Parts: sequence; structure tokens; C-alpha cells
Amino acid sequence: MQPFILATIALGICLAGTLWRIGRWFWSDIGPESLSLPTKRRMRAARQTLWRVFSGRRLFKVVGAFQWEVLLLGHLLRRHPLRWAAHMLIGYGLLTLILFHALDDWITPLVFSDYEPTLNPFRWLRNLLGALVLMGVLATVVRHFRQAGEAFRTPGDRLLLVLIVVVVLSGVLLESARILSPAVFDAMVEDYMGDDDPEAVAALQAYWAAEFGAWRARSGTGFSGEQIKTGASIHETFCAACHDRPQSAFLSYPLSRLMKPLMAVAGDHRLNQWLWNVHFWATCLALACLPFSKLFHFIATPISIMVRAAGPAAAHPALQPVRRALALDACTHCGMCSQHCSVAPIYKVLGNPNILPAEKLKGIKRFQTHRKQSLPKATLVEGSFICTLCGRCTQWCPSGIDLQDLWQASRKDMIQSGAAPLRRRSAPPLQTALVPPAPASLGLSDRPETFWACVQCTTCTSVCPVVAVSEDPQRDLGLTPQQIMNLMRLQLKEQAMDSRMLWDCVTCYKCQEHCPQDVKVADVLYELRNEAWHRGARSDQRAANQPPHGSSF
Amino acid sequence: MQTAYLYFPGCKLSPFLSQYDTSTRAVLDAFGIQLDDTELNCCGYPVRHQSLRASVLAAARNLAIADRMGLPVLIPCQCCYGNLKQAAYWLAQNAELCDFVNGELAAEGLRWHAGIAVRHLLSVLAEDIGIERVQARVSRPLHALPVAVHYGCHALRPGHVVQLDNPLAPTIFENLMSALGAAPVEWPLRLECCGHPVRDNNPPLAAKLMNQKCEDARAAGARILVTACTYCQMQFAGISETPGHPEQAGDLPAILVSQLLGWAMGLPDDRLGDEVQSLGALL
Amino acid sequence: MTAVGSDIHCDLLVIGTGMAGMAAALFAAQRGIDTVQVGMTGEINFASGLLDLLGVHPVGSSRTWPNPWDGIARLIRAHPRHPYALIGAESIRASMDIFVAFLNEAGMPYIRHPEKNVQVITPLGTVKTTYALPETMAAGAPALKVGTPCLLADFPGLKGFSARQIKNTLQERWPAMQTVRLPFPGLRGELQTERMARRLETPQAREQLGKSIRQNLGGARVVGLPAVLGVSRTREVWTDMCETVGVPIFEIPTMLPGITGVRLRECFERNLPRLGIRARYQQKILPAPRLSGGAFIAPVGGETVEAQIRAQAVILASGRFFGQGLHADRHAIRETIFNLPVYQPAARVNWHRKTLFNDRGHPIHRAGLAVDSRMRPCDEQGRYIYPNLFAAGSILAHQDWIRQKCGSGLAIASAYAAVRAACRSVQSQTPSTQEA
Repeated sequence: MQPFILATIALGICLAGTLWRIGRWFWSDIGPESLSLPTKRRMRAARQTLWRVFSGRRLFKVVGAFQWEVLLLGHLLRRHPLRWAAHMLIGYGLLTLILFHALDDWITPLVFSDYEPTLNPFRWLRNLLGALVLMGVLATVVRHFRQAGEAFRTPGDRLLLVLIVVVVLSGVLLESARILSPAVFDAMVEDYMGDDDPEAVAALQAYWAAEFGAWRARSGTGFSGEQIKTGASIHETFCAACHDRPQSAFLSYPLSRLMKPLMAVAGDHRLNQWLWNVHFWATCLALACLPFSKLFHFIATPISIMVRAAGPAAAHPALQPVRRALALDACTHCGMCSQHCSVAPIYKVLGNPNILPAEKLKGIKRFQTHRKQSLPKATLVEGSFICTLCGRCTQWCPSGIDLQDLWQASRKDMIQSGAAPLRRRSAPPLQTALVPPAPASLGLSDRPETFWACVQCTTCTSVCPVVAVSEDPQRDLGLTPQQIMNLMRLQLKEQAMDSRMLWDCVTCYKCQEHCPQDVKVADVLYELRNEAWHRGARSDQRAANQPPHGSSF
Repeated sequence: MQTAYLYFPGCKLSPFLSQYDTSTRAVLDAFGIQLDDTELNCCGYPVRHQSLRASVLAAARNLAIADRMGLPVLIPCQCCYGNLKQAAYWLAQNAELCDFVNGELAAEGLRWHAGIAVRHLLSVLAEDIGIERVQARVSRPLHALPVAVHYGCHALRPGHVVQLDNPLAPTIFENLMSALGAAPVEWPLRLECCGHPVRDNNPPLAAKLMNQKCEDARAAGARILVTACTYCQMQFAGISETPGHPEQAGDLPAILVSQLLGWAMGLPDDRLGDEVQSLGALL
Repeated sequence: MTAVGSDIHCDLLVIGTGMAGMAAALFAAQRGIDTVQVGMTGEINFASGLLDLLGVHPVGSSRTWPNPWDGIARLIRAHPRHPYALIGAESIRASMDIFVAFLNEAGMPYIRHPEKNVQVITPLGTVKTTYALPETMAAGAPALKVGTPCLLADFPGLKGFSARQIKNTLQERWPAMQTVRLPFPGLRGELQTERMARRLETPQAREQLGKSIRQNLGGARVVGLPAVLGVSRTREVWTDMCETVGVPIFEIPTMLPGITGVRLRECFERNLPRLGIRARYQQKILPAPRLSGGAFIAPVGGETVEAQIRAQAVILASGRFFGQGLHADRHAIRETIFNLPVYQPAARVNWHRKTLFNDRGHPIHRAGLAVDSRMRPCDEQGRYIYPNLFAAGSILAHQDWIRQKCGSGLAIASAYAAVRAACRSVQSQTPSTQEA
């Protein structure tokens, strides 16, 4: 296929994909109010916001954010130098290569009037940029192994990283192949020398073999010094204007030395062509994949950062769903939020990764895409409601995401779709046969000694504010505190757990404080709730076909 | 006098009740107390319904950090205070729990042990700073304003765990109010729960509990309710965590202890919060 | 509250917050002794509110005493080891006078005739002899005596209080009694006294109830209700309702859990600190107190030691079995704090008689701390264990307060005697004058 057509198709896919993803920001429904905000209204809100930003004082903040956070990634520089380095290397390396190498027919001559790709410093620069990009990739991979759980998690993301490496390496090797290639040499001679004199050609060959590392399959003797001298002067006449010595290509040249044996085996022309195809196809594939991969954050995150900088100017209520969808794309999974999450120690015990913001965001993303089909996963719901909405993740997010707003909205969505955290339901039905005993808690409720001293004086019920305020405790609560203690005393835990009192308890500890016999009434009620959650969590996990996490008391 | 504390704001303070934060800082600053703002984690109170172990680990981490810094912890929220004290209590009682917690904390080079000081704001004001010092700084006495002090639950009970004051007949809050020149009323429901813990689960129950308290305070002659807890104030003032989902406020104005104290000390209104605006009219 | 871990110095440590403990703290405060009181919620919450002085003697007979002092005199002669014998009628009288005066001042007026017992009805319809009544119960005594036409109201859902049962039991004694069952305003299902009492503290609820009682009044000139007229605002609730109903109302103590004991407890908790008592409620004395230089050093706290109290004298009013002052296991009864010798039957097999409801009671009821004339726990030979440790209340031996109907008197009088003796002990140890 014509390279030009292929490139156009790839670019087209890239643009279309980008537009689709940006469009998704305008028709995704995150947060219950988004159901009453049609796309048109959101777009209008976006237009109004743009106008407000550009015509107001906030513009300075936005421009400042663009310069410091987007162009210079200043917020990363201070805290995460390795990440900053990787971003700069890959980002600017690729950008420069795209602009000045891939598009060197159009852009580069505007800047350098006598540009030829085979001249220095361009040979050196190309290799340098390639090397920088590879260093950036290496830094990313090193970081990934050092800090598990972040960076390129999905196969799609890894694919793109691999593609970048392939593009750069194939480019480097292509250059090596071209340094060696006799076919390219011959074609150039035909185009530019026009002289059919075989001796002159041979002399030029000799010079090029000696000075430019060109290769040729030959039998018989090598070149003579005379030939080389003659070749030098021919080179001066015909070639030197566009060709500098390739040794400045500090990656490609040494590699070309290593490739010499391959030339005989692979057949020169095929190797070149093959490498060029790989280089070109990989580039096109990468381009086409870009909007569907993590690298889309290249577009989304700067927008998110600038929207944050716009502050109140970007607070249009109809824009909120747009900002949330933008947030889901702008997240780079840097994991900064999880590092500073207030409830991270709870994750260590309960083992539900959805407690941590970075994972929770991914879970919300998945829930968003499959919303119409299913309930959100129970673990996502539990994790969402363990979050205390402290807002710290929002403060630390380098991508400008208002995480707290996202959590608030997604919680509402979850409740509306029928999922509710365990505490908002009554205790789930018992399945003793299937549920192994809970790991050791304090074990108050299972030890008879806890209840020995209970004489059923009903003081706990008497002082309970929840009982006091109910007009009909049996109807509203099922069992009163002293009835629950009685059942526990008789080791009838199951009956005790089947009451609304367990979930309406306000944990005021009056019962325990006033008990004349020191029975730990409130602590026992807490423990029964723990038990109910443990059973409910396990049954939800079974239903979701997931292996239980390390949930323990 | 202890002049430096590790400040434990709790998860709800800055996002939902920032006036408690600013007024507390303003008041403590006026007494020359320095607050360290090292990043801490959730106290573990909300998750105790699901897992005591998670709750205790979360609390213990904060205590271990305080220990590493050699500072007592100062807490404005009573639920946070209660949970940190509960965690310390259970860790001292249960060796297996203690081993588990210290095993987890060791990964960060932290360690919990007994004896780490945890102080609620009320204790710091009434005891560490002292009633006399507080009284000496009052420049705008409250002219016998009848106030109903709300003690809340989790800093008060179980008494032997949380050790704030006498759980059946506490006086610390009233003493503080008297020092400001207010007239704390005797109201029978003063030690009852405000209802916030069941706000999500059972909104009518939470509202009933709160309204009953407001009625009782009014019947006792109070014109304002004073709280010393993030959650309690949010309950009485009808402050919601969910935007667009307002909660009903009680029919008695509610104010935080730090706001009232700050106003009595003559601190500027903008550091105290909107609630102090109504004080002028009440006096 | 003092800072954790510190030492607390005082002249007198009162261990116990029941009737005896509260009375002891009261008497000590009035004498100006620097006193710390420590105790957990225990038996006092279940008090009926009636103050018994002496109702029955001898135990096992049905002999009740219209004049308690006659009965006390007889009792002292018959049982010289009974605490009343050690205390003496004069002191008993003085203690009751002071105690009742305090309650009156504290806004919980008690009605009594200094020389006479009265009879009141119980929730079962039996008749009980007692000495002093809260004013909210006072109208019941003359009404019973005279047989005033009475309306007795009960509420569906309140267990242990049936107006019809009371009427049936009292038929002959009080023929002019009518009963009615009324719905309780705003509450349904099973009722508890504290909920009902708090409810009646709101004007609307009591207006509603008052009206419905009034509608059923008929010819009644007095109304009897279970004791649910408020916990903290009892006076207000009672006077309000009497006005609405139009005739006097008398409360009848309820079965457990009642709020009559809670009223007393709250009254003490409010007022004793005001009198200067340093109260540490919901704390206990932990093992093990010891003597040091003649003073007691007692660790105190909820479950772990929070402070050490150093006291010149100690009054042990820690209650009986329910209050955990005494503990019975399969072998013996022991005193839980100081491990004092406990007067008890020789072996466990002798603790109880063979019939549960034996009129004479059981020997275990007479077990407890035997004391000397100065209320100091002593051994079998009558020698005191510690010169500055005193005991008061239901922990004492040689009394059966349930059957003798002398519980309050025992608590208050023994507390009075103990405080007097403790004062002397403190003063003899520290010759410098105490501040009044």
C-alpha cells in the first residue's frame, strides 16, 4: 500500500479516535444530575467556560499552569525526578522526532534552510533523540518494577510502549542498514553521479567503504590507497554537499558494524525494505493506537490541569459531568493519590484495592462503560464507601482531577443503580455451611464469660436513646439491646444478628456505661456488625466470582 | 504548659467544617501553642463497623507517628478522639492484635506502645492551658448567655477508655463556658447522642434524636447549643457531606466551642466562621 | 478530673456510690472533710425511692411497726449485733433528719412523720411499711389508710404493673378503687419506664395523659400511677399533671428497671460535687490498696490504674453481691477490695435453707462484714483489722434488710456512724484544724 495512504489512514484514525474520546466527555453520564444534562447543554457550558476563561483574569493562572505544569511538568520535577525525567525524555524526544524527522520534508527546512538528513548534526541528533527516548522508556520500566501497581498496567498501554521502542530501534537499525547498503549506494550513484565510469564508481566505493562504512559483497582484493584518494575527490564533487560522515551516529554506526554479517545472509535490499516497513508501520500503528491508549493522557491531562487552574471560572454546573469524564481520561495512574490516601491503612487489613483512589478510579471507569448492563462490583462499592471524602487525593493529584467530586458523583450513581454498602442493608442471610468461621476478632461475642454477669436487668434497653425515641421498638428495631444480650447469653447468635437494632445502634455506649455488671454491650453490638459484614463481604465476593481478598477482622 | 502538639484534624474537618479548623488554630495560636501538621491518616472510627482490626491499625499508625515525633496528639473531633483511645485500650488488652499492628507498622519503621498522649481540644483548653488562663484572656464576656453544652458520646463513653471526664456527671465543658461568662443550663438530655452516626442509614432516626435534644435544650432555657465535635456540629447545623443534598438543621443555633471561645477572646470574625455572626444578636 | 497517673491526697475515701456511699459522702461534706468518692453504677439504680427505716420485726412474723423507733428498740435488744445496735437510736434519728433535709434542699422533697411509719401499696397490690416517701408518692399513704376513692391507671406494654391485679389483691383493704388502662401518649409496644418518664417531660405528652386520666376520673379523688413522672424534672411533671387531672396523684414504685433509683442517683451526682466532694464516678478501686505510713494508698481507675489515692481514712460502702462488694464462689464469700474477713456460715451447704421462700430468709443474707462499735470491720474476736478503715451499708453482717425493711435506714445510719468515727480518726492523725 502506498505509504502516503497508510499514513493518512493512521492519522485519520488517530484524529477520529481523539475526537471520539473528547466527545465521550460530553455524553458520559457520571453523577445523577448528568441524566438531565443533554450533550448540547454541556457543549454550550464548555463554550461559555472558554469564553469566561479567556476574557477574565483567570487566564493568567491558566497560562501559568500551562507553562509550568504542562510544558515543564514542574509539579513532577520537585517530587518525582525520575518520573519527570522519563516524561521529558519520551515526550520531547518523540515530539522532536515527529516534527523534525518524520515531517522533515515540511517542517525542518523552514528552520534549517540547507537541511539534509544525512548531514551532521542531524545524524547525530536523530540518534541522540532516539537514545533519549529509549532512556525514558528504560526509566519508566525501572520505575514500574520499583513501585508495583502503577504505570503501564493494561496490555494496551504496554503495547504502545513496545511500539515506541520498536519505532525507535527500527529507525536506528534502518540508519545502520542504510549506512551499509550497497543498493542504496548504487541508487544514489545513478541519481546523482550520472557518470557511468566504472573506475570512478569503484573509487567512490572504495572511499565510502573506508570512510563511510559502506559494505559490498566482493570477492578478490580490497581497495587500494590510490582508489580511496581518487574516491575522495569524486566524493567532494558529488556527495559531500549532502553527506557527512556517519560515525557521528553513535548508535547506528556501531550497530552497522555488527550488522555486516547479516547483509550477506539477508540480502541487502530486503533488509532495508523490511526495516523501513517496520519503522513506518510501527509508527502508523502507534499513531492509530494513541487515542485509545494511556498516552491519550498526553492530551487529556494538560486540559485537566488547565481546567483546574481556571478555578471558579470553570465551575459551571452543566460542565461537571464533562469534567468527570475528562478526569477518568486524564488519570495517569501515577498513584500519588493512593500514596497519600487517608484510609490506606484500612486497605492493608481489608485487602480491597478499591479502597485506594487509583484503583477505585479504574473501577469507576469500568463501571461507567458497563453501566447499563450490570451492578457495580461489590468490592468497588465497599471501597467507595470506606473512603472518608477527606479530599487529600484531590490536593495531591498532579493531573488536576477533582477526585472528591468524582467520588461523590459515583457514590450517588452506585446507590441509584441499586448497590449499597453493607451497612445500609440489614444483615445478609446466614450461610453457615459455606462460610468458614471469621478470623479471630476480639472474640467477645463468642465467649460465654462476656455474658455471665448479665442479669437481664434491662438497664441497657432503658438508657438506649434509639429505643427511647421509637414509638414501637418491636416494629422498628426487632430486638432491644437486652434481648440481644439475652440471646447471646443463650448462645443464639443467629437470632441476635437478625434485627434492625444492630444497624440502628448509634454507638453512643450508654448501654455499656450504665450496665451495673460491666457487660460490654456496645462492643458486642459492634462485633456482631463486624461479623455480618464479614459474611456479607464473602457472599458478595462469591456472587462476583472473585476470590476473597485478605479480609480479616 | 505543653506548647506543642501534633494536630489531628480528622477527615471531615477541612472539607466540610473548615471553620472548626480555622477557629481552633486561631484560639490555640493566641495561647502560644504550636501545631505540627504532619500528614496523618484516618482515625479508623467509620470503619469500625466493618472491622475492628482495620480501625485499630489506622488509629495505631497515627499514634505511632506521634510517638516518633515525641508530641502529644491534639484532636478537635470527638469521634476521632474516642477511636484513638479505644484503639490504645484494645491494643493494651490483646497481645495478638498488638503484634499484628506492630508487624504492619514496622514496614514504615513505626511502632505503637502504650502511653502515647492523646488530648481532646476540651481537655487542652480546660486542663493543659487551664481555666484561669482562658478566663484571663476573655475580653468579650458572654453576659450570662444561656448555653446548652453538648458533650457528644464518643469522647465521654466508655469513661474508663476515653478518660475525658466523669461519664455520668461531666463538668469540663460547663466549667469552660462559665469561664467565658456564659450560663450553662442544666438539661436532662445533655449527655445523649446527637444522632449523626445513623444519618446515612436511618435519616428519620437521626433527625428525631437531634430534634429531641434541641427541644430539651430550649425547654431548659438555652438560646444556643455549643458543640466540640466535627460530626456533632455538622448534625446540629445541618451540614451535609453530599453536595445538593441538604440536611435539616436543629431549631436551636449551634456553635463550636472554639468559635465561642475565639469570639469571647476578641479574635477577628474572619478567622472564626459565620456562626459567630449570630452572637451579637443573642447577647 | 485530675490528670491521669497522678497522686490524689484526701482525708477520706468513700468507696461506693450506692445509698450508703452517697450518704457517707453527704455527711463527710457537711463536716467539711476533704473527701474523694469512687464507685460504679450498681444497686442504687434499682432503689424504689422509698426510705425504709424498720418495717418488720421479727423476721418471719408478719409484725409491722407503726412506730419504727419502738421496733428498733425491740430489734436492738433482740439482736445486739445488728448494726442498729452498734449505731444507737439517737444517731439513727440524727442521720435520717440530715438526710431528709438534704433531699428537700436538693429539690427532691421527702414526706415523713418523724415518729411514724406509713403504709403504701406495691405494684403487686401488697402493702409495704416504710418511713419516708418522695412527695410524688406521698398521697398514696393517707389514701390507703382512709380508703379514698382512687383511680389506678396502667399502660399496655409496661410489664409488671397491672392495675387490675393490684385492685384484686387489695380488694378488701381498699374497696373504693377503680382501674383503667390508658394508651401512653406517643409510645406503642413494649414500654420501659425511662422512655415513658422522658416522654412525660415534654408538656404535650403530659397534657395528653392528664386529659385522658381526667376523662376517666369518675368519682375518684386520688389517682395512682406507676412511677414514670419524669426522671430529671420530676417536680415539674408531677405538679403539672396534678393540676391537669385536678386531684392529687401518687406514684407507685415499679418493677425493674425503674427510674426512682435513677432519680436519687442523679440527685446525688448533681449535688455532691457542689458540696465539695471529689467524685470519680464509673471508676473503681483496683487491686490492691495498701497501708503506707498509716494512710491508705488505693489505685483507682476504670479498668487500668489512672491514679493513686492517698487517704487518711476509708469508708467501705461497696455493696453486696450485685454491687460486687462481696463475691461468692463455690467455697466461700469474700470481700473483694481489702480481702477483709467475712462473717459467714461455716460451709456453703449452710448458706440456704431448703425452701426458697422461707419466711425467715437464708443465713447467707446475714453474712457480711462484722463491725465494732466504731464501724470498723473486725475479725471473729472483735478486733478491728485496720484502725482507719470503716464499713457501711448493705455489706454489713447481722442484718437482713430485705425482710426487715430497713435498707435505707441501715445505709444512712451506718454511713453516719462511719463518717463520725472516720472524722475522729482523721483528726487524731492530723492535729491541725480542718477547714469547715
